[in-house]
Amino acid sequence: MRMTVLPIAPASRLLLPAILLLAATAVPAQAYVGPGLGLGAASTALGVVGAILLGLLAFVWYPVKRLIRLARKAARGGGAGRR
Amino acid sequence: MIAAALVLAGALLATLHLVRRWGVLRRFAALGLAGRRALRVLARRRASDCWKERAARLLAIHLMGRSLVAGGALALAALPLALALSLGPQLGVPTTAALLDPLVRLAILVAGICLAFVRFALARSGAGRRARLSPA
Repeated sequence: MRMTVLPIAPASRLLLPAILLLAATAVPAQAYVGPGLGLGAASTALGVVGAILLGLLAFVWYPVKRLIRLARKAARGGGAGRR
Repeated sequence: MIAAALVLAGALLATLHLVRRWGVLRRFAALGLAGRRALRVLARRRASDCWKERAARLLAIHLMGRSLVAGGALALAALPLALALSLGPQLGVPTTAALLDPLVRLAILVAGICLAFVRFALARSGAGRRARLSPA
């Protein structure tokens, strides 16, 4: 039975030993976050992201939508005038 | 280790007291309410785009304010615990080791339950005394 060896890219060849080396030399981070603080931090981050998205929607999307609608209306009006 | 356990218990109780006193949970409930309201406004079909644009602007400011206030209150409430865990080992009190010790955790749990029971009993007796002394 012949075994075929798949060619490994040079970057992957370096990546695996690097991951193993990092995993072997890891020390305890002592960065435990409890469920209360974790959920609180997550909801704060979600709130900030939601506020930014909402701001983008209000300051970018609706004005652009209005502009597109106005442009379409103008094009339609111009077309009707030419006819 | 006993000193570290005491410092840790004190920091934990201070954090819990600040969470209750500053209404951190209430602030997060308000944040959730603001997020739900924003979603409801955006999903409304009969509203015009002009109205939605104005509402989204106001809701974005509102949501950002609520998020920052809730996050700030949580960070400030967790400050005693963070200080105890960061400064303790530098001052020679092994608070991080105490936090990972199951016996210390159990002792803090028991002490916390006892303190909550005493506070509840004191508050109940105080309310009863106030009711007896009130003119009505």
